[in-house]
Amino acid sequence: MTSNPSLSIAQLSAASMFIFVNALLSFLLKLEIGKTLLISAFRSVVQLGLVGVFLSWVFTLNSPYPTLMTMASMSFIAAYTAASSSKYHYNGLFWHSVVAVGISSWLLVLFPAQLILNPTPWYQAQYLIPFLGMLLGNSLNGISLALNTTTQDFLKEREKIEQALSLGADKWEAARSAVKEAIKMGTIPSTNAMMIAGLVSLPGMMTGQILAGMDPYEAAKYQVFILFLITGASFFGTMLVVYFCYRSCFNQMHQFSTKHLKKSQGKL
Amino acid sequence: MTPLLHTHDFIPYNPGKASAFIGSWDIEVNQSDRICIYGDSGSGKSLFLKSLTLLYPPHSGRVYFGKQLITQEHILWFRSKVIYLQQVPQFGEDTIAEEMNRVFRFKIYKSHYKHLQAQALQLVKEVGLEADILASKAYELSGGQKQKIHLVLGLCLNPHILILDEPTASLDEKSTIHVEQLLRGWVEEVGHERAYLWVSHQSSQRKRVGSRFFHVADGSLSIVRPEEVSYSSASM
Repeated sequence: MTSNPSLSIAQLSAASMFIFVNALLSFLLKLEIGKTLLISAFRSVVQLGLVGVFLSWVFTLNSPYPTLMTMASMSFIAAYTAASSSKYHYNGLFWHSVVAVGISSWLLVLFPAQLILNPTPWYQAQYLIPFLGMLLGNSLNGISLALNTTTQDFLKEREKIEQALSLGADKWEAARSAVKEAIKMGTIPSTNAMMIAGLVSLPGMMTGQILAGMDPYEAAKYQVFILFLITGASFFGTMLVVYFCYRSCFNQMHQFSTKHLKKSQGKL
Repeated sequence: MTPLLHTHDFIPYNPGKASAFIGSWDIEVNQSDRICIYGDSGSGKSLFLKSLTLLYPPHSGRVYFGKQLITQEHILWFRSKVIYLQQVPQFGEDTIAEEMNRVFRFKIYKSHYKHLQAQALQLVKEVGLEADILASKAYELSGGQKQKIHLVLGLCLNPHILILDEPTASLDEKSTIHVEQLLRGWVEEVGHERAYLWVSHQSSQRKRVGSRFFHVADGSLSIVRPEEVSYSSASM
């Protein structure tokens, strides 16, 4: 690997020119998106800057607790985002989301990543944190899609589910088609990502590594590794959250109820 | 003789006002009963019937099938013996045969899958449909044909009690009479312990389908003697 080329502040400022030019155009043409563009650009600078500074600090500390704490808060934020993007809510949804997002991502960060990449020491923040971030991001996507599909399907298919139960189906037989649909929805993004990997555009991580000087073939291997983990995490996460949602809608008497599903009031 | 089905301290599930169902709702269903249930729309007939089959958790009370108190352990068996057929049957995008097979593959019926298929084919003809209807999709069928298919499904699962929520609502007069006779024959078939509960909004239909009458009104269910049933009042 060649030495990492470092971007100077001057180079970054030059890149920001494109944002300013576009914002100016938007004001001149009265497109009314100039303000949003500037705000979002500004936010990305502040957020990524803070994350960069914070992660540098965690990386230099390189001890288990700060690393694990960082990972935990990332997981909670991801779980919160997944839960709050759902159109319907119920009590306990947040914790279901925490377990689904958490278990799926942590499992894959701690086991395969440890066994295969074998970082030393095991808690090396430089590996764990970016890996977890990627898994969380994808798992959260799958989970919120699946959550939306399950709750909406349960509400929409209520009569069909009741009919199946009235004809002698157990709760699993009655829910199966809605559950199947939801898991499919939740896992489409990750299977699609593998399907078109490299054809339409290079995945973000691979692009970054190539820009940072890594051999494209090596970068491709890394990318495949990541894709497998990402897909694994989003399958696990999706299945878990759909299972939890299914559990919340059926009881031991094989009765079905969606009474606890409340329409979300705007943003959480 | 033990009734086929009876309830004790029974109050149906009520998602709205818990206090809306105030009176008595206890019933007994005996062998060969042809029970006609009537009452205004929204009076609670469907909630009562869905609570009776424990599709909804009753507000209070117990349901017995024969001498057996129905609990978690017997619920699926119970629902295969007391089948509730909702008024508007729901079918998916598959062919009618596939839709039926899905039901026959439920764990509780799976062991006699082949027998049920043969039974269904037989019953399709008995309700007055052509056998090739099984190859069509639900959206190609009329409301009446769907109701007949639903009835076929209910009959071939061989329950002891059929709960029919306006089973002839979408049928023409000729088919209605035919289905009424078919179901009467089914209840009275020798060697079987059978009964039905039939929700009817048509006052002229009541005396044809009922040997006993339940009237649902003002938050309770009352058992009406045949001679007191009004057959002439406007339907609904």
